[in-house]
Amino acid sequence: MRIARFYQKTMFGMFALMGLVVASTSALYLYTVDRQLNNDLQKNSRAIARSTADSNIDLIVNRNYSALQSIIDQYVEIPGISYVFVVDAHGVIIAHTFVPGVPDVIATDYRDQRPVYNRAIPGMGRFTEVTAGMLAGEAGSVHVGVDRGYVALQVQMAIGKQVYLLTIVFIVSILVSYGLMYQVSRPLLNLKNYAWHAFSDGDRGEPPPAVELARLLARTDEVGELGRIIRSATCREL
Amino acid sequence: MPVDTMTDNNSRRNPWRTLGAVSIALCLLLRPSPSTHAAAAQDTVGDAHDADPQGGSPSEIRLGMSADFTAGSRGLGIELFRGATAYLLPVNAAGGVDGRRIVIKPYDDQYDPDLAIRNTIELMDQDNVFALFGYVGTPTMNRTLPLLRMHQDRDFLLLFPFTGADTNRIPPYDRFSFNLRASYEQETSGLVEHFIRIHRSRIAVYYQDDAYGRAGWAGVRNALAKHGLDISGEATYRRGTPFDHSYDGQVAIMQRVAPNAVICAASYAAAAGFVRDMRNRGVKCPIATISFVGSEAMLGLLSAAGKSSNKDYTSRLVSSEVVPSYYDDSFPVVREFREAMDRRPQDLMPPDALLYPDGKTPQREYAPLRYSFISLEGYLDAKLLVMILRQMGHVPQRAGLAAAVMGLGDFDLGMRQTCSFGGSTGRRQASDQIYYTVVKDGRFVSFRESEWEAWAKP
Repeated sequence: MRIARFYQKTMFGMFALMGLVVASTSALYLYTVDRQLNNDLQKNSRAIARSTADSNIDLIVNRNYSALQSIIDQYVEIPGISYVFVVDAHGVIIAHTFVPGVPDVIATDYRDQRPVYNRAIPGMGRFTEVTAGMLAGEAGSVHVGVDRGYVALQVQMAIGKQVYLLTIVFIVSILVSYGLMYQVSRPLLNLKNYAWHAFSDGDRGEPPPAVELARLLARTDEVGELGRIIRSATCREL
Repeated sequence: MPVDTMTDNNSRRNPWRTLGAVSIALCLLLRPSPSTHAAAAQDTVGDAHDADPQGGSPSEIRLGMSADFTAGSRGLGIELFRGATAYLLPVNAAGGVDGRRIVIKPYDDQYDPDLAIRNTIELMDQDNVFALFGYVGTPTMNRTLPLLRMHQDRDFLLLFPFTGADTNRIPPYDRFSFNLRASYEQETSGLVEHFIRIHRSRIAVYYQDDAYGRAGWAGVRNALAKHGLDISGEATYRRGTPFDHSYDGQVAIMQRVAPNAVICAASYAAAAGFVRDMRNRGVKCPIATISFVGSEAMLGLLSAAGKSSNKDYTSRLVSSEVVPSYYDDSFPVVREFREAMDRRPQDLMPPDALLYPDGKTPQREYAPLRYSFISLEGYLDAKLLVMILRQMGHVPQRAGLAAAVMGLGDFDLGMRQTCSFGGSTGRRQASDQIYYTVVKDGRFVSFRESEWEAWAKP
């Protein structure tokens, strides 16, 4: 299936344009998903920290640490939430979800109540930690750690799916475009063969089949017109 | 105007149509399969009982039990059930309580709080039980108690759960439950007091990373605080961690802390694994476990590991228990318990359909223990339950259960101690007694007060 050289550049241009669209869409998608996921997870973790801090004061005052632990255990089941710990008014961690123990990085640096920490915990990964004070920090604080590796993984997975989809679309587009170009350039090829054959007195090239030639000459567009001109010219020469 | 045949042909092969068709086909191909979103169907069909609204019938009183019967802590659920059944079999054979047989309806929760919630809903709504009985575990109980509070108009009570956590001992859930056993706070406090008395005040805690472990941790912390001390170090493990898992991470923390005693709020597999790895890495300080551990199952694992590695993993290991040693015949209840367990041991097991939902295989088959602390506790739970039901007259009503328990006052279950409910303080926990045991000749025996001195820190 040959395509007229005339259209080959056009096709190359189309593919290049399509590649540009794929690349720019992916980049925009990457940026949007990453930002959206990070924002959502931070909002969720802030909501968890806030609700734990606001609604469990009684458990802390009553020192019902077992019930408090039950509550925070449920939060780490949420994808992306890696750890939760609660610090009392004396700065003691009274409930947490770490195994096999509270990491040294946290054990040495959790008492100030910065609203957001960025932590790298050896052996665990990188985290954004959101903090909410209980009774304005008077009764302690709740800390929720969001796994930034999880966000990155989710983004990678989303981008992977996007690239997969675009690749399929790209391949199908190439095939369809090629077919389309072939359909469009076929009359031109017929015209070229007809011209070669007519002007060389039948010495060069094969004329198009009679049915195709009839269709070519019957066309109302420029190709048909050119065909008819060639026919007139060669008839006149005869 | 004549129709150009070529144009007509082109229109039939319109590329845009082809493109559109391909796009639609692509969308259909890439559309997520509905099956990926389908939630796993839950079989919610239960036995529909034509029961009276108070959890029984003229011929039976139904109790609902949710415990682990198939997963890592199944030994606890099975042994508790066996002990209770050992007491109830002869009672039912003799006509039950006022002509009503007492039936325990067991459900498997695999020590998973979500399953425990589902089981409880089923027990309350489908089975319409008289009361919930012998639940096993803190995290499961903690998540179940709000259900009882939510349905307080239906007067459901949780009787004698196998946990010493505070959640059902303090407001707001204390009024939905009654306990026979002492609390973890009392167990850990007793251990801390004994360790401090023998000059071992650097105490670390090894605990399950959940509500149960936290209850144990809090008990140790509170007891140490009374002496102006703090926990010297702590290590945790995930619920359900098996024995053959490596506990080196936890042991490394302990080595860094260098405690002179460790108290474990763990389940048997994780406790045994931790003890094994502590000893393997040369940490020789005394290690204490609390009653939930399932001492016999832990001992079984440690003994087997000791035999294969030719090491002694059971020395300097003390267990606090809430029932006496089942080898101590000086307790009347121990004698009757042992007789009951030996009478019809084959009839004490929960049904196979519950224990082996995927079929019984030699690998999965549970080997019941002849006696255990847990089955003794189950036996005592059932004995106390029957005592209460006998107070309730011919037609026991759920609404009258709490008053019947509170009205028991002082009583003796054969443990050489007075237990009590109600009274001026409105007690909802019958016993405060803690018993200490150590391993001698491959079995747990009483650890006398004077024997603690042998473990004193030089």
